[in-house]
Amino acid sequence: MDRVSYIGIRAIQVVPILLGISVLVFMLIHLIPGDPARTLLGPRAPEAAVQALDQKWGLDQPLLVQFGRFLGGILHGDLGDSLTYQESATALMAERIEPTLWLLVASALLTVLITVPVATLAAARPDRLADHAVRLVPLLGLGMPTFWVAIMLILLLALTTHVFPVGGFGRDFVGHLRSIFLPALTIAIAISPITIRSLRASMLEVLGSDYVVSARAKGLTERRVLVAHVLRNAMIPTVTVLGLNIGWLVGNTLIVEKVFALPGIGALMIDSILSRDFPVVQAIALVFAILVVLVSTTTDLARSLLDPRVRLR
Amino acid sequence: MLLAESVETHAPPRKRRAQTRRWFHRRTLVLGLAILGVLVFIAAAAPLLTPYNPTVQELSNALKPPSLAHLLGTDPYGRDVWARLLYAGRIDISVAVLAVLTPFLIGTGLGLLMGYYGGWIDLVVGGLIDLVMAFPFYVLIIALVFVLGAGLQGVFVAVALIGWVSYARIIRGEVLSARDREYVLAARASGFGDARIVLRHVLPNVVTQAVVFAMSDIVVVMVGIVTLGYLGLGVPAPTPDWGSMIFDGQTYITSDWLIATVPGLAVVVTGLALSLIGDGLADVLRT
Amino acid sequence: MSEPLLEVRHLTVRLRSSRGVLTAVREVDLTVGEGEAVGVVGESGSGKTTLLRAILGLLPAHAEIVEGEIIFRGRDLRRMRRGELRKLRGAELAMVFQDSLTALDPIMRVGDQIAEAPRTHLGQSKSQARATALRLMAEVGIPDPPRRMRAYPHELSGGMRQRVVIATALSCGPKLLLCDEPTTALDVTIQDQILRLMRRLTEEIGAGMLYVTHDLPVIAQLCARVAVMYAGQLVEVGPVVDVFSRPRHPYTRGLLASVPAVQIAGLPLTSIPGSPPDLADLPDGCPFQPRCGFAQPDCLLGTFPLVDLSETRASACTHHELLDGLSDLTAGAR
Repeated sequence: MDRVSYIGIRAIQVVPILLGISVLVFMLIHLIPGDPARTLLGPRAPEAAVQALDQKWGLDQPLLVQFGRFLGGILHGDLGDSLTYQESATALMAERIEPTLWLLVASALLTVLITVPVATLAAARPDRLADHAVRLVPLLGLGMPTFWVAIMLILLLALTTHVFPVGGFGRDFVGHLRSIFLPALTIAIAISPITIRSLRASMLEVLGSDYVVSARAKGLTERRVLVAHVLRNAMIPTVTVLGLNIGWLVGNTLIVEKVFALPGIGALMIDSILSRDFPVVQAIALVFAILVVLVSTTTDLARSLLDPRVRLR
Repeated sequence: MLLAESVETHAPPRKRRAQTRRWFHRRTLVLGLAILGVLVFIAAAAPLLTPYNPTVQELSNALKPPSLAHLLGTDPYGRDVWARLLYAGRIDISVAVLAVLTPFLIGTGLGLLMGYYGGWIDLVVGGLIDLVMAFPFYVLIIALVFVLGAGLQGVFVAVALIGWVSYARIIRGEVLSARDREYVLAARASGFGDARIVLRHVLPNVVTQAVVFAMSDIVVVMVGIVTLGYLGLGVPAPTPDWGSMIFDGQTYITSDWLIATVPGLAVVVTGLALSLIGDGLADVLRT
Repeated sequence: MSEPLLEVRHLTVRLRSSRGVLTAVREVDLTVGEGEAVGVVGESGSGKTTLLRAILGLLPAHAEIVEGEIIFRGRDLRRMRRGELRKLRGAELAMVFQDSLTALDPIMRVGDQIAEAPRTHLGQSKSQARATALRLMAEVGIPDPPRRMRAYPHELSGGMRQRVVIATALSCGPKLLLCDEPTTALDVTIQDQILRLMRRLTEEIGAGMLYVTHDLPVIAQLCARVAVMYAGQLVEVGPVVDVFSRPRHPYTRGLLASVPAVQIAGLPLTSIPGSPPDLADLPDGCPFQPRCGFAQPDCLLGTFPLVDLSETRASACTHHELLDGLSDLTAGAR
């Protein structure tokens, strides 16, 4: 199978997953115990308001009809209206997507910047001190709550150096950069233990492989062996690992945005939960899930470009 | 297990001694068990280790620095931080362990069915797994806790709804590779029923991987519970919880940094102990 | 014989393994003349591959040369600086690997892999190296080189891949070719083609060859002299014709008796009882003694180095005369 049809088929495979995601998100409201509108509006809300909401969301209609309306809305970019603000969920998200995108890109970059050298160091001298230290990192990192890491970074870096603000998004480009650094570092610290572990393992595998011995047997310079053979081969699993952990990365933006008061959609989701603004929670959950599916599909495609052996199973 | 047992008894004594030795040499496992043992003991013996009630506020005594009376000082509500730390450990560790139990059972069961029978059940459950995996863990758990209602009950249900996925995937894979092994074929040839084959012959051979995974899963769930507590969606106040302790302390981070730092360290140490156990267990079981 | 191309003297290699330190290659003496093909035969785990990798200076991290000299064209490779040795590798000293699937980088086009060495050692430009690769691929019998050079290793058959590996090794016209069982992974007809190919090409460029294998017929087809390796030591050395017709070590005799193609009429086809010894736990005395049908009480004592029997032959067996009466394998045929 050639690459073009591989990409085509991979794209078609995304459709049922996206459909399933919308079913799951749609079902969220029906997990609310009792009358959802009553629960959300609170016991003191006037009966009329509850009924109006029931009506608006069509909760009195058959499930299938409700889902049809929900799906139709999604396709038209209508994800419902906020209960708190006089705005649609889509408009609210649009206002706050920028810091989140910044954060996602910056933390992915920082993760790579931390992972590659550390994993290389550990794999270059297996079973030495550096390697043992690196192997301990995942064991420590798994148990570190992201929000606590964020607070510790504020304590250790923001409050001591005054280079990085403790919160907000800044006004201009430089301000954005300064504001995004610590949040992105927090996420990178949360993800790196996983990525370091798997990159170290795949580097070790590549370094021990016959084709590296045969590259050396050709008399290539050590630099060429590393760049042309070792790193290129080790890149493939790294891309895969990043793709697999994109969900973890996205999930952490919620918490990090909240701690650093970044006005992104992650913080918006938490705020909406605290103000019981269901439509916004639902809309953001949907957007994040779609984002994850799209990113992991993209990394899959990137992998197929890097690795000629990839074939559709 | 007949076959496996006969292999065991025929193993030369030297090899068996080597295995015992290896067990003791798994420093990670021993170290992890030791740390966890100390933590569990401290948490269980909390009433003996502190005279204070972790929930009683004494506002006149707020934000006191560490002293002999208050080992780690007091929090913004005048509660003893050391006492809250111990009682929070009781809650967070036991909730995490209990919360992992249900998804472990559900996931193992579904994984067995998927791997052993394949067919439509594999397809349907497999699709469901893909869906749950598409959601970022924190997005899904926070949304679920929100709709199910904040508090421990919501946490338990949400963890169960998400957590089974990993166990089902692991067990399914293990069953697929075990299904055609000799001991299963031998059991089939003896005319045993499916239920007996799955429970007596397949399960004991595949469950170890799930147990190893459960160790790191407890860590992830514990961190999740603490995070929910920090966001005000987990263990309800005033019950002490490491997450809400950090929340209470973060406002005073410049002056009383201990209040927010120490509970986080407690999470890290507990997580380290469990990860060490999981790592060591994986090593021991691999041989 | 004039100055040999390669002279290995007293080479000893130790490995650190999970079961302790073991000697994978013990006091091996071996020479390869200019243009000469020498075979090293032994069971798996006898230290053959370690020997080749030690010569190339590419031992794995847990292995170490503890003693010995490796004189290549008058210079001791062990005393060379890393950079100097690297410049020899791939240029004058080349290796043909056993498993072509793992020896080739899975994500690099085979043409580029062949071109790497000429670019490094001969200073060829990209297009020159490309032309070299095309010529080499045609020489090793790969059909349609312009198309095949753009293939990835997994897209080629085992035989084609092994030809790529050979083309890589020959790319800079080496003086010595180190071959690590390059045909074991192939089926018999292809094996034969590859052997003929290697023989023709090494003769054309006048390269010496050190060919390691467990396969006696291959040695008979390819080599002039043979060294038999057991448990990291050489137990018999001599011209192939002499050694295969009149073995001077019970192990060699056992090997010959277990091969249908070499086996001579009148001698029953048998395999050597037992299995090769654990290198971490060698038996006392002669390492072959527990499996040897001719073992005497004194085989349990002392060491058993290779001893010259004549100008061309040597054996490590102190009782080799026991083989004399009954071991004239050609006797039945005569």
